[in-house]
Amino acid sequence: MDTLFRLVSLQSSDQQSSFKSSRTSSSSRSSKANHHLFHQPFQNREEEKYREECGNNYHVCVDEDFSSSSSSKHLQPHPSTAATPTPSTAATTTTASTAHVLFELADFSFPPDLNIDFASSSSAAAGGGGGGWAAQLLLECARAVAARDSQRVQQLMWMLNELASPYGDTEQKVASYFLQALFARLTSAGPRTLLTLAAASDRTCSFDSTRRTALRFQELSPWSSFGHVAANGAILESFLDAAGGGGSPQPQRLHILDLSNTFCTQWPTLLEALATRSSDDTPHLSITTVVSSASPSAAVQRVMKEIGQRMEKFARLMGVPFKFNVIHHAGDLSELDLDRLDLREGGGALLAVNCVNALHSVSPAGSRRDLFINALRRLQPLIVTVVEEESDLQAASGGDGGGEEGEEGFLKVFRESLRFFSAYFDSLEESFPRTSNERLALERAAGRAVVDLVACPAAESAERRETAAGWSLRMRAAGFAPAAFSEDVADDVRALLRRYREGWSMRSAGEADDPGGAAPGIFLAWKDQPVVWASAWKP
Amino acid sequence: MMKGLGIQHHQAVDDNMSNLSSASGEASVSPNQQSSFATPNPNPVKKKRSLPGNPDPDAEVIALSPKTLMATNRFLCEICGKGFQRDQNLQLHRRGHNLPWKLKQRSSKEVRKKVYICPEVTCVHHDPSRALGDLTGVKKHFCRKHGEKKWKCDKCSKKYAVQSDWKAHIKICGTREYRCDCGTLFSRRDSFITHRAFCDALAEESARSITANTVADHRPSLGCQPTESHASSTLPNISVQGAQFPHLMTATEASASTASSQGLHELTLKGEHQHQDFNMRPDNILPWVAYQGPGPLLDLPPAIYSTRFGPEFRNENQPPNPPLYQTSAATPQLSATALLQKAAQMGATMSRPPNSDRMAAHTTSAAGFGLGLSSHQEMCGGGGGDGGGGHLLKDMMMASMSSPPGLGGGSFEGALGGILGLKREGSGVEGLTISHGRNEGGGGRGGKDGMTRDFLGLRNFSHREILNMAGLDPCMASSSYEQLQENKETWRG
Repeated sequence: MDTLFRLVSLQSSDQQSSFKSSRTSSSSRSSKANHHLFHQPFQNREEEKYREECGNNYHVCVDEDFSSSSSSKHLQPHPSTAATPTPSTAATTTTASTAHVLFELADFSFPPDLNIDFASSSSAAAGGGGGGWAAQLLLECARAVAARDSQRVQQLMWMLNELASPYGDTEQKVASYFLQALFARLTSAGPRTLLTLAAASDRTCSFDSTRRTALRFQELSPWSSFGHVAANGAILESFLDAAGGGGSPQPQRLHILDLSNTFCTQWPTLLEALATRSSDDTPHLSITTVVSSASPSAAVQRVMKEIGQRMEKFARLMGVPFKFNVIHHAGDLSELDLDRLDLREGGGALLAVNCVNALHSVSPAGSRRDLFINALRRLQPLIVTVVEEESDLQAASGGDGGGEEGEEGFLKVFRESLRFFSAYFDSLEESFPRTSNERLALERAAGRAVVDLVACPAAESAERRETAAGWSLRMRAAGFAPAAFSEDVADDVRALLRRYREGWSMRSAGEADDPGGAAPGIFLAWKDQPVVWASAWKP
Repeated sequence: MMKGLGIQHHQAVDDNMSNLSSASGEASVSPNQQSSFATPNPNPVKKKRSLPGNPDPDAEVIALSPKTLMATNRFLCEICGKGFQRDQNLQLHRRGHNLPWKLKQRSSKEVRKKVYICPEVTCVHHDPSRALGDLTGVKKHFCRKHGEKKWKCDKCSKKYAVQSDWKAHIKICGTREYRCDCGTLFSRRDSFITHRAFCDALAEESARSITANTVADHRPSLGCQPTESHASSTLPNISVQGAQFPHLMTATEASASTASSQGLHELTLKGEHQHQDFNMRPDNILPWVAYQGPGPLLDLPPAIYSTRFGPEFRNENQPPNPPLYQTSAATPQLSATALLQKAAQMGATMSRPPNSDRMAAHTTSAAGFGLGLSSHQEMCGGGGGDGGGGHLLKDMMMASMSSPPGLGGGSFEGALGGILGLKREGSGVEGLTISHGRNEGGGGRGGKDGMTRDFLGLRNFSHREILNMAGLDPCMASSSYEQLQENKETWRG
């Protein structure tokens, strides 16, 4: 990517001179390529959809990709990784000349007044997080979109499309998914694109693929397990506190309302902890998992059924009396009638509510989020654990963000999405092997979130993350008080992070330099950027 | 023997002064926990068995305050300052410093047995009917269950109330590997647990094996085989039995094997000439540990280990006789009690070497027999496969029973030490630390060395061959015994 960036910078700084010279020298060649290139964005998007729809075997796709779309491939800065299929010889041998063509074309297509100011955009990008070429070009492109400068948008998108690939390095992936989202926005096809992508992923969704992805993710990255360990620790401790005293003659009942998107991978360790803690009575555990989506899918229902069976079997094995319910809820989580769920099991059970990436799936429109949190409060839970990805994706900060966002709002969300997902992709890049189907699946899911954020109305969005400070405000407003994680839980989390590669760290929210500052809980940080926040709350 | 190890050794002796030297390490497994694991299994017998503290009704019940209980320094060693609660223990400790020492003789034979209750009123062991038979035991129990866990592992943040538990854990933390039945290896317990819950291998497991698993220990309830990269453990041994030989394993047998691993613990701790040796080196891994695939092969190393003998054998240059142990592997139908009885009878017929006059009671060898049961089954399974295993087991037992006893049975008893008096808190097997006799550099083995070296090539032998070596050919058996000694390991649960 450095090479590329240098090339691009070089080109932009030498713009005036090279522009003229190259224009004369290569006009005949470039006109031919020009024709080809301006069709490619659309063609590529089609291809991508096709791949997602039909492809279980991504290796095949990668092969295809590498041999067919040569112009972006050979710009890949690390072409020699062992896992990467060898590009076709034709592509390799023509590397130099194609690159030449590419930049001649770029020269040709930039009007003289198009002065991409990489210095300023990189400073903007530094504020926004990513400093790579992808972030810069994407930001530039988003600005052009906001300014409705269609010519510039076209040029930048063309360039991005040349460089982007969902199978390339982090930059290329980020470029690819954000370009897809920008394109959907430009064509006002956000919701439709989302549906198409969701349908495509649904088609390949199975228990097996879900399990593989979720477990692999946990094994290689603490992104999800961080929240699990923290939340489980808090739930277990609060339960033991409440059930403790030893006075009660019969084992307590614990009910967990599970609002999460991590396919119950959180629960085996909790079951094990309940079974092996040194106390006489293993409590009865019930878990009610709510699967909420705008469009319920049969595949997800099958997956959850299978997961439920596993959970029950495992609980039996561990000797924990156990009940597992799945609620499939179509529509926004805030429309779920919590009172209909028998969470108290007739009154005896202690209730914990586990929200992992659940709150941000509630639409930011109106005051749905506050209403939902209030509804949780009315359940009088023993504890509510909130795990959220740390990112400020509210279009209008402070407000409810439900209204039609302006161009400023769009730019803000775009920039923040770019920062956040760049960090996410970067962490995936360093955690997973290069060609990993699980990783591709995770990236595709992130890509769908990006489409949601960039190209869909905020009111319909299920991806509008908020910061820890923002959530804390809402939780406090609903009458919750923060419950600090005990030193033991913090130790568990630290011990968890030690087993992953370098780059992960835990910090308590107090010492993190987030502007809100007052948030309780702990952050998972990737390379010093807080990315996931975990907290616990009591009424 | 080795000086540096003296202290540990004496600690071991120290612990052993009580019959209740509950296994250290991650053994904060309470009996209650066991029973909670057993919940899915309706078998009441097993539940009953796992409750420790069933003292002699005639025993004198002693209630100590927490402070008295935790007092550690009533009898101080003048050399190292270590405190002991009992003079007897100090005397044994002094022995380690080569100081004059004297053990009190029992003044009369009718000393009333003492049992101790836990000072914590909410504790089940506060009830005199569930008092623990041993002071050290009640002390450790009190620490583990009601004390502050102030010893923390830096690596995994696991906390312990008893320092020795913590020490034992430190030595194995991170070295353990968990293998799922599906063949996947995990270095971290939580990854393994999560995987296990979702793995197809679990979905296919029969309820039967689950039952067996839940009996043996809390970890086996995962149906897992925690293997260790450096040290093999007695525990997976047990659990695997449950999983793989359900037809051999009834609940009571599982109990027996639990007891046997405790016995194993005793065995090694009591061997006077044995040291703790935790400096595992990769090249000490048994060859067949290193290359084993999933499935029964995995079970073999513990099985081999379990036929290990006390060092006296070596010193006396007597060929050890593994078949004796395997002989004691009574038929699976026998209850644990019957096993113990049978074992006691056999132990009585054995001759005792002169230097085995420590705490060895004949009956203690029962634990070793129990152990033999488990190992034997495994070996059968590992070598011959499933169905024939039982028959093979019996055949071998017959064969070995007819072989002349008296080859150092006593030393093996000596190593075993008062098992029958065991009143253990918890199953305690998980973290037990068992030392092996060190023999590298212990040049006394002279003429056997060549053979030993040969047997390092064991990796190429079929399991049947190993079986034969270990069980059927006395000469070979002694060699394979040497091999084991060569690859002395820390036993970890």
